[in-house]
Amino acid sequence: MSFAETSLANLGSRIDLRKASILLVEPNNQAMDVLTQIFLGFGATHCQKASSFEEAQQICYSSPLDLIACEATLQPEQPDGYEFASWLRRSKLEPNAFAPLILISSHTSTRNVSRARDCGAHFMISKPLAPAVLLQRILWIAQHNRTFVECPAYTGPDRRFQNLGPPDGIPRRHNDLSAEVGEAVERNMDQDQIDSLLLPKKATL
Amino acid sequence: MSVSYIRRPNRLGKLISTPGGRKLEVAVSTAEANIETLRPGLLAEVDEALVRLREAAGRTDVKARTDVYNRATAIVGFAGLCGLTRVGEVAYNLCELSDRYLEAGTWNEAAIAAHIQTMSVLRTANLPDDSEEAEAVLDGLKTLVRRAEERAAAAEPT
Repeated sequence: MSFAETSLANLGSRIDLRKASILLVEPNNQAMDVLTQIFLGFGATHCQKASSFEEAQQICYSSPLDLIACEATLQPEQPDGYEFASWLRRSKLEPNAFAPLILISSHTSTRNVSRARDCGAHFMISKPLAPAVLLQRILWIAQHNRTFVECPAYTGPDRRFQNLGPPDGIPRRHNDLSAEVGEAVERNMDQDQIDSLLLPKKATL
Repeated sequence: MSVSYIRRPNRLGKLISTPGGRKLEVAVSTAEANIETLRPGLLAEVDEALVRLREAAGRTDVKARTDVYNRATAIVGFAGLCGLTRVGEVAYNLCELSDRYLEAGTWNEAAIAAHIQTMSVLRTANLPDDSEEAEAVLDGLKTLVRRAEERAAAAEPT
């Protein structure tokens, strides 16, 4: 994917990851090399590496992190990247429980993407890793500081990207505004009045 | 159900936007050049994963089917990084197919073998990415996934 295709130009012109503390979680050595080389290319200098759920946990306990990139499939017979994200979000670790977390997966089926969304990851990125895509996601996370939601069913960044209203069949909350729209109490503004409010015009003296 | 909304300081945003650092274009091109230095190792990794995939597909034990899925995901992760885009696409198709088989509790050895054979051929044939032959083979393999999907949907209780 070319640089222009990802519209990075709109998100700022520079990135400084020199002081960012980054955790990379990847069980495969070659894949870890790829991930490391990408972050080195981005200018990162503080990358900590973990190859398993337990190693990742230990690093989360021991140092504050600014960004986590985690492979979704970790060691066999052990908790995976989704479980790591769930654990971290409910860990109450300050500030790491709120750290931006990107899950990486070779198989981005609907089921896996839904799991990533529901375990508290900020994004899921598909392999093979494209540096431009990864950088775009990092910049997006950095520019949109998403509110965190904590409730019994979910802990993590606010998952709502679209304002679609309440889901079908779910009753409205008691403090939601009424869905009924009343009669207009005054006449509609005409286009000139709207323009005079919204369109800035150059004054001619 | 109680829901809390928590606003945290944007640490990453502050760090990234400090003056200095790398131009975005430079960051991406440096990362791509760094990956390029790993290409021989990545090619070896694809070949090794193909051998292990073939071995897993030939086994009949309980874990063999999960191993097929895992080996296929390994190929997806590396093939596209070392110029084997088509091999990666076939591996992704195999991920989809084996995932659906695992979910439905079925298995079609011939369909799995067709994917592995195709990857082996594409690995050595050196066909260009836009080759019509490769496209036709991939379309055929995608049909297998579509059929597995249809069978799974038909088997689901309504």
